Amino acid sequence: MTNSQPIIDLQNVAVGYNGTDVLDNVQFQLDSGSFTFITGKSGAGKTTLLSMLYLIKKPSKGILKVFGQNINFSNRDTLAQMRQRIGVVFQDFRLLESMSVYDNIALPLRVRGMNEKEIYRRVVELLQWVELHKSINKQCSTLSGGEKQRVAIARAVINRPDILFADEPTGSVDSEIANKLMRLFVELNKVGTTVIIATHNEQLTSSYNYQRIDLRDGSARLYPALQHI
Amino acid sequence: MRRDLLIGQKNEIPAEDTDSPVFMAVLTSIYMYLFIIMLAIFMAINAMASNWEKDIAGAITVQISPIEDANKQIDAAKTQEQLNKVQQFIEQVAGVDDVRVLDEQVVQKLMTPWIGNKVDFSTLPIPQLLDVRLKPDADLNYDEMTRGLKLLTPNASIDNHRLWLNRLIKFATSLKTVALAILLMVVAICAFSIYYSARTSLNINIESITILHIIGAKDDFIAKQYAFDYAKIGLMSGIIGLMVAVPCIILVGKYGVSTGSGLLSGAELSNFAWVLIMLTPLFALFYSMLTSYWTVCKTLEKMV
Repeated sequence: MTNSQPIIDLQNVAVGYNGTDVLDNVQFQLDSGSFTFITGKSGAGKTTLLSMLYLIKKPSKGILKVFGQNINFSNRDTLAQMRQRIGVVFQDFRLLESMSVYDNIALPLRVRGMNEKEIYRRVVELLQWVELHKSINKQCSTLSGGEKQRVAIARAVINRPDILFADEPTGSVDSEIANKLMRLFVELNKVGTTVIIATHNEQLTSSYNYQRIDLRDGSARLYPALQHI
Repeated sequence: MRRDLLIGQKNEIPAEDTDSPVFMAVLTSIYMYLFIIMLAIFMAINAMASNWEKDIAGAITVQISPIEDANKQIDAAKTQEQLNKVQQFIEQVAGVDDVRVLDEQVVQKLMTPWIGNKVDFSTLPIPQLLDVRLKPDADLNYDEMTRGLKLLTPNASIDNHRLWLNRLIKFATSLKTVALAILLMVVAICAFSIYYSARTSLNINIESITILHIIGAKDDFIAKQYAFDYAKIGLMSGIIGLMVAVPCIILVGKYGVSTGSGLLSGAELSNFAWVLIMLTPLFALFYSMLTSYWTVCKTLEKMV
């Protein structure tokens, strides 16, 4: 993408739970097509920051702009439309366990009102990419952790999102699968998807030369890629 | 039982509240049964009151008490003379369409329910009755007519049916109001049940709802899923309620006719009333659908 406007822009943002701010005075901008790690210890506020960035939580203070739109002035329908341009992968997968692999991956397309023929075509294509085409009709509750992770990724990218968030994506899988997942994220980033990964895995972040936002003591600091190395 | 299995439709919100759709279907069926019964009662009372009004508003009865002096034959002749005079007088009154003297047998038949049929009517002072039919929209001055009759004979009196009819209509109106109140109460309770059931289901399925929101589902998308489910429950309940209620209405109707009560004879359901009753499953469908849609939209606004 060549858009000069940052895809995510935070200005003096505070965010937290039940009136208590976990993060305060957070300020950074992320360019479209960038790859960013959000790091910090457990409880540093990575998930909280991420949930605000994928628009399920509003900042208690400051300005958050996503796709150039101030979310404080966006209504529920606009926020939903913005979320349709975002993909999220969770550490605990958050799949609809009683539904099939196909239905889980098809969900974002159904939400957009796409016709079933096109949905089928896209889901099958994506399932081949994540090597799960043989499990298309399996119920998600019967899958292994690694398979669930791949379904979660397929669901997150089926919409060809502009931004992909991943919250501790390698936390529940072994190192081999973790490496595969990272290669998948890098591939997606190469085709223009802005990728933001929250992790506390120092080994993982040091293996890739990408910019990093470090959360510490309730504040955030952006380290550019080269400086990080 | 899962909701999607119950209604045979793929649902994006997997039902964690496994039994609530069945419970709702049973509950709504009972509500629909009560609704249809109360609707039938309301419309039957309405029809009955209208028939009373129609039958009686266009008629008056004039009564002439028999003269009882000394000689039976002379008395009868005098009474007949008075009857003729009164009949001629009434025929002249503006607004009167027809005057008919009720013959003795008809009067006796009218009195039988009160005095039985073992009595010798010839020994009783049976009054002469004139059935007066009025022209449509006749504006009769009853006071003037009464005064004119009293000048002819003090034995004549008018019964314009209005007095006791008003009491009956008042009673019927009270019954109608009660039926309407119960009808509205059933509708309100049904709405509350749907409201709380939908809210509970949303709370139970909060995880799925959140996932749907994260992937970009609008409130409308989620509400439509619920509305579709509840529409099916509503339709099914409406049909069950109808299937149970219609035989009850027919049985009660037949029992009413078999009692032979003239008072109840007008309490028949018109074709329009039956059409309304048959349409109740559709009403249940739309009512459940709209109530659940509104509930889900309003709840989601506060939820995520």
